Amino acid sequence: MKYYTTLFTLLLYTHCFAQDSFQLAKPLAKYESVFFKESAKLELKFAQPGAKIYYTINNDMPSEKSILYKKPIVLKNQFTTVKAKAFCNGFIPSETIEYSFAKEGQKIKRITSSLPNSKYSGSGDSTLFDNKGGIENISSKTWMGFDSDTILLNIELAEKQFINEVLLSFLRNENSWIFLPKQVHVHYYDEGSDTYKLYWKAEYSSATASLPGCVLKGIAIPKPIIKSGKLKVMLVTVNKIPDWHPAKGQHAWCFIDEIKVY
Amino acid sequence: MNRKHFIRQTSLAATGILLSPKWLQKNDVILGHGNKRYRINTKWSKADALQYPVKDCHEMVQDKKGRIILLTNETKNNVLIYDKSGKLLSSWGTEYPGAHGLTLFNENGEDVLFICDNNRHQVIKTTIDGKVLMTLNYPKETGVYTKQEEYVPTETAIAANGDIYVVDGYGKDYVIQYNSKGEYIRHFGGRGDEEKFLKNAHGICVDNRNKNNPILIVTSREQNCFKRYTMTGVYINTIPMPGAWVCRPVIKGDYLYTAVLQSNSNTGNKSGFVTILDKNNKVVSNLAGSEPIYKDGKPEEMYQTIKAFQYPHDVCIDDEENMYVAQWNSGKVYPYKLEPVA
Repeated sequence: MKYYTTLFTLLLYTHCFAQDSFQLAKPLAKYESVFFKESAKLELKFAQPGAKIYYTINNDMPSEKSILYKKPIVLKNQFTTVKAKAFCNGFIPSETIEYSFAKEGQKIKRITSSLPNSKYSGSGDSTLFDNKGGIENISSKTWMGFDSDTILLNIELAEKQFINEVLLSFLRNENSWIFLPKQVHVHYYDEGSDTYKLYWKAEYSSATASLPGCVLKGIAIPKPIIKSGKLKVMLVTVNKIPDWHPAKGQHAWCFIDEIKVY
Repeated sequence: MNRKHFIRQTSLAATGILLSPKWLQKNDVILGHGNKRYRINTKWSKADALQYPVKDCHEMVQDKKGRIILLTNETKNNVLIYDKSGKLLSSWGTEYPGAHGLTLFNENGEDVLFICDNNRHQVIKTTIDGKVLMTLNYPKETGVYTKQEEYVPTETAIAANGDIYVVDGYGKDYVIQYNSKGEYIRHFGGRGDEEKFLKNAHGICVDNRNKNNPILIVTSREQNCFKRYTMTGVYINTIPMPGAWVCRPVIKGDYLYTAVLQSNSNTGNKSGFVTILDKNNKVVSNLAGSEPIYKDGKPEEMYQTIKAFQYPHDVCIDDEENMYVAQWNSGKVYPYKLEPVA
């Protein structure tokens, strides 16, 4: 019997993968926003008979040994990345989907920014701190879309705080010419000298193509040195789309929907 | 566990795979739901890609001789004619750079074709072997077009009386009705906020499933739905297809078949599938798509689940109920054939 089983499994395998072998598409993810005050809910759907979704919340790649998805995932931690993948016998597992959820940080009083392109102007003054975002749809009113070389964001906190981290939420959809910025510079307001001083900066590469999606980028300040109530964030955008892209040399777009300060 | 039992268990677990005694045969992936399930064959076309290339495979029809006719925007051979086994029989056409819509009509016993050309902004009626019988230019008579560029016809449907309905799915989304001689009768549809309007009116067909009351079904692709109109253009109602970028409706028997170019939840990423609706216009099967689920009479959002297709653009159902799927922008791939599974 054991012999038969092994032989059969072997033949089944050869059989499945020697002919047309298809990959599963990615599961459907439903959520209101990846930003929240108390908690967020992530619902995953994959109506394919026999298929199962497995997920992780510890940044590991999902496998069939990960957590089996049964009901919507409730997120409460300050920062959680859910990675999920669909599996079904006879099919290549889906690509991994990834959604990062972030809890509200320091209270923000106001954010003023450079003018976005009028086609993607967001939904009013609070667009960048209204806890609404992480929606992959380009035409969602949560996004502010910029096509300028630099973007300036002036952040005013409700109170002076030690700044540990600045979190920026971007859209990446390189097919639609939307790239992450090349650089992010975080400045803090120094009351003594009445000037803005560079706190920290980060760089992101677009040298190779990346999958589309919402991307949270945290800029962690290694040693917060001073309490400040005002931050100035400057983004340097991709002014020339790299050579690997069909639109090489053109100006890329940069899309932002939320800023958090911790 | 005896072997028989093991096989039965495995086949239950391995949904989508056929584990019949003929399990060494090719193409064992089964797509679809309920009694509308199909075995896919991606190697149906035997055409030599060097000699008979394709670009976008836009639409397919079957003629009265049983041959399968494919329309592509490759001007080396805009029309490829196959037998049902995938053998290429003949080809014609070099003058249709924007070949997009292909409709067959049996006109007093003779098969004729209607080609919509996006680039030429024209509808061309031809014999089955490509002789031009009539050319319809942009419909000035409507008063809604000032130049031909505004008019980008994507599909035609021909009524039993020979009336020609053209949808301007990449232009202003009107439906233009002509008589069989190509004389303008009326236009309807177009864009707007009310239900009777259209957005990306990509396809049209005459739904004659109710023999006494034929109606028109028009695609509103960006709105993810079909809209039903009387033969004189009065809006009746909408068939919601949430999540599905439906292409042209194709009626065969009691069913409505359509290619879904992509899933709304994953646009720009080759997320297409094929969907089948029953005579009550209820989705009963999604080939490579999510299992149809209705709640309170309304369909849940649909999406691709298996990457069997990239961007399906049309389906053709032959006289033996086999399905052929033509695809747009999918690496110059020839059509696939899908055979029904009993």
